[in-house]
Amino acid sequence: MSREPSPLLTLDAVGKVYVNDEIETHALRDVYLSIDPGEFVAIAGPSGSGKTTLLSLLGLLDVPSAGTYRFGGEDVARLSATARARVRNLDVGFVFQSFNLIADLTVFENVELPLVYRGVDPRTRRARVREVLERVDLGNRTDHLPTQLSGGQQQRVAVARAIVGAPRVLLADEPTGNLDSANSTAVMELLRELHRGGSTVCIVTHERQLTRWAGRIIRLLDGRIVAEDATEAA
Amino acid sequence: MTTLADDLRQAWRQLRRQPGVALAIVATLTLALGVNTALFSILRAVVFGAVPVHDPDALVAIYTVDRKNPGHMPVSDATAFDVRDALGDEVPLTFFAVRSVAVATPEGRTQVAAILATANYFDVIGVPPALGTGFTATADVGADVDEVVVSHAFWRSHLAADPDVVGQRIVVEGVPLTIVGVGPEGFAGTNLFDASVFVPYASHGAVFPEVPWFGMRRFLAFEILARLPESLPFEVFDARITAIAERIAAANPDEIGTRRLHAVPFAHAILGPDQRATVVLAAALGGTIVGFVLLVACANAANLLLARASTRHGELALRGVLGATPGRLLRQALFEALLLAGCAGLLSIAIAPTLRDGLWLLRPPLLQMASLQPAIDGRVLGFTAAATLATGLIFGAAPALRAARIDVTSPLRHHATAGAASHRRVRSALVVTQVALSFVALLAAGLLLRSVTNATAVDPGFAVDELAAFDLHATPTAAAQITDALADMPGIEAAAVASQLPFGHNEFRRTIAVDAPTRSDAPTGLLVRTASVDPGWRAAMGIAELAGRDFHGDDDSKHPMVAIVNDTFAAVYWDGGTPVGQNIRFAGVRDPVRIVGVVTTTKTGSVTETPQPFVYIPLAQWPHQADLQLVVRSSAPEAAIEAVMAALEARDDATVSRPRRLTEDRDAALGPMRSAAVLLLLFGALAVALATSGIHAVMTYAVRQRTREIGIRMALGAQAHHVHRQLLGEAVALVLVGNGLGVAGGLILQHALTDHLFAVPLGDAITFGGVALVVTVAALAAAWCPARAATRIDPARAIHHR
Ligand SMILES: Nc1ncnc2c1ncn2[C@@H]1O[C@H](COP(=O)(O)OP(=O)(O)O)[C@@H](O)[C@H]1O
Ligand SMILES: [Mg+2]
Repeated sequence: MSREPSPLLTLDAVGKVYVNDEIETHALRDVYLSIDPGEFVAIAGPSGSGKTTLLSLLGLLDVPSAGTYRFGGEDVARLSATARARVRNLDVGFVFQSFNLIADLTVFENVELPLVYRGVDPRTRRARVREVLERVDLGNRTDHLPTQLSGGQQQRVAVARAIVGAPRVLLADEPTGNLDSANSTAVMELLRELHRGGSTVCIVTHERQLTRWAGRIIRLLDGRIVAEDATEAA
Repeated sequence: MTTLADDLRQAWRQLRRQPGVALAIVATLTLALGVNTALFSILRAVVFGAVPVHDPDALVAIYTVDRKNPGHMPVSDATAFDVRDALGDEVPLTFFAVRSVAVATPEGRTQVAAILATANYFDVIGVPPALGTGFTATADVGADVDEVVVSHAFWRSHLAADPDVVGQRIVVEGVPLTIVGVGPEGFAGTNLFDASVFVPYASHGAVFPEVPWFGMRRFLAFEILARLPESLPFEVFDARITAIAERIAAANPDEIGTRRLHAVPFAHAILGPDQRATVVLAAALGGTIVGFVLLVACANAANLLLARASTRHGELALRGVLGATPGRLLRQALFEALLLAGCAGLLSIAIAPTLRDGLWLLRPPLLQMASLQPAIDGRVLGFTAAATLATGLIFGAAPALRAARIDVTSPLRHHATAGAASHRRVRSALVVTQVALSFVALLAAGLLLRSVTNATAVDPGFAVDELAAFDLHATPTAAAQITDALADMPGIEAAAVASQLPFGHNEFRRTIAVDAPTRSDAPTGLLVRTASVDPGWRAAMGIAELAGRDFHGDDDSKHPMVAIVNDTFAAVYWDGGTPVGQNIRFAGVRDPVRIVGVVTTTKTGSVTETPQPFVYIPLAQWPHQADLQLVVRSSAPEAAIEAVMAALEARDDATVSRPRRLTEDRDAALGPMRSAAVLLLLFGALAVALATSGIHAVMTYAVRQRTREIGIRMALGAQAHHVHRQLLGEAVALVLVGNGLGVAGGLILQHALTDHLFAVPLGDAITFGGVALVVTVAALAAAWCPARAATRIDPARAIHHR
């Protein structure tokens, strides 16, 4: 029997409450979850069930109201905003449903940003950005502005930006939600490829295709995990 | 280092992306910083005395003070010599007096101010001549010397800027003197009287044989300037002067009495140490208000940046997601603000000289001295740099803090409205601040204007509107002939001469005691303003007689000495009854002086003064050594001025100069207040204009941002006027709160200014109400158009607006 790898991400009894104008929304309750390095996890559930909230906690965009969160063995639930920004910059890559490229930066500059914030020198930056743009098949579009690209191309730029810093985990929130089927397929293939190359991937999605590829599907309802299905693939 | 470059690059890019916003901010700040720089340059010159002498900080002036009487007086030459001897060679010391002289050049005769100064004058103050030398004389007593230095301005205006002028002669007070030098450009002495010629003290016997000042300790006519060596701190020097003064007093008890000496830094002496307080206060007020203008501009800039930041909310959040730390986002936003401020700072330096020249034109007569030149030098630039930095930090603070607190989860949400409500609160607070600041700025102007109007309406106690005045350089005999001749001219009702006129600079105070007062609290001696006048003077001025008689032709040196007092003087010594027939005594004069008449109290220094005791004495008993003042009464004073000038041109035993209406002197005495009022009115208007444009921008932006909300309201049946009224109502609320704060600030300001305002009740309804009206109307006008525009929103499209 092989030894179990130590998990990359661990949520223990995590809850998240939003308080707005005296109304409390319990977006997540009592969530236990751990994700191992190299896993491909899909998160599914109806609208409002807490998927995005879960992803924002995993990506250290927000802090849990209760419970503990370990990232690579380190307790990150109570880190300061600055410390969380560092972890995000080094270890987390994000892909959004609505691409979220900066409209007046070129493709190259958009992809370069995480490295800029990391303080990488310009020469190394350039080489690394070229490399990932080649990888998403946009090596010839470096100087275009996002508006000059199709939706699918924009999302590939977003993926390139997410992986340019070689993060330990790639998080995506309905990455194909705004794409037609042909472009969806291309992006999904790309994510699958990244997973095959060893990346840890965690995706909120309704796509059959993706859930089929995922090693595990986490189903949420009203802020609770109601089922974890292991799938046959991967 | 690379992060810094990246931050700068990004800041630059942001500015280029919305050049309109950047331009608006830079333009506003440039104007505000430019005005601040210009005013600072002026205030520095005025408060710290930018007079072109060498190392002014090492110069010290010495004045006479007297515990019995407030204020700083000049020093006698006898005492000045004693001080110089006591100090020795370690402290170079010069003293000088100013006197009006008649000068004849090849271009004609003119009346100018002369400085009679010790031989070392130019060396001590450190002013190198433009042509020739300074005084060549080395001694101040003994040999008569024949030399004169002329000012650069005089050389140009009266000597045709002749490069070979050195060695030529001009005639000063009838004495031909050889020109040995021309002073440097911009130099006209170190005080208010712009001097055209400089005569060595040693020649006073030849040039001023009749002037009685010399060697007399009672005649306080000289100003002392000493240059301290670096080793001698001011405090030590001041103590030494105090000790020297005690010794001089001990040696001359009768003449010195309670008078002592007091050292004052040169910068404080330039405008006169007693006038300085007013100037400093005006400077502080002007500086505060112009600072308000800058704050209003900062609020504008902050508002525009915040408005823009909310359109960039998504982008900022995304940068946060990708790992930009809060500190970095904060720095980034501050960088942008500083970059904008920096551009504005540089541009403001470019426009500052023009603004300074414009503001300088508004200065009061007190500051019309040629030597005073506000420069835009290193220190001013240092001020601008500091103000620019502060400006950037102030208006960048709110956007920067907001950037640092950005909600990084928002890119995951589809409509990022988070933060909008609190944005609106901050921007509303900024609008309220702008309204309040511009209210106070305008109010400062309003209060002063009101004072000036009140003061101008005061009846000074004589026929100020019908009087024309002249400086008259003539002997007493010639002066008497002139007044007789003028009084016979058609259109002229009366003419008279006196040593002093009301609102003049040359007031003469004498210490007077009374033989038999009836009041138990009567002072033993009183320093009283006096004037020597001719018999027709009271009637010509239109001053009311209360008791006794006028002076007449027999009140001369062969008859007993007489005086006329005003009722304020009478009230100091006597409980009712008339003092006619009572004796008063002048310090240093043996014979008693009998009061022969009582007149009403008139304004003498300024229309805002409290009633002052005054004693009139006959010119024929108290000959006046300097120029006389000629007054002419006429119902058409302007025409009378022409007639008098024409009539006196032919006489070669008299020179008239400075023709003017007496109302001009009255207004000149109000000059500092009037200048301050006009200046503040400019700044107040600028503040209101900036605030107005800020409100317009904020409203426009708010309407755009609320398009969807407004569209929904309209879809639900809101009429155009509902929308209009609602938006305008919100603006009115902000403006009212701003006005409320403005009133509070205004009351504090008025309280601080109490002593400098004239007959303006605290919280004066007209001033406060007027300012509130102006500010409110301007603000609502600014809000009107954007609110109108909102009513034209198409609800169908607005609902799908993102
Ligand atoms: N910032 C927030 N403030 C208040 N409530 C929120 C906030 N974000 C999400 N919620 C609420 O939390 C619940 C879960 O939302 P979310 O995680 O976005 O669900 P999903 O992504 O599954 O649609 C919802 O009820 C939502 O309204
Ligand atoms: Mg979601």
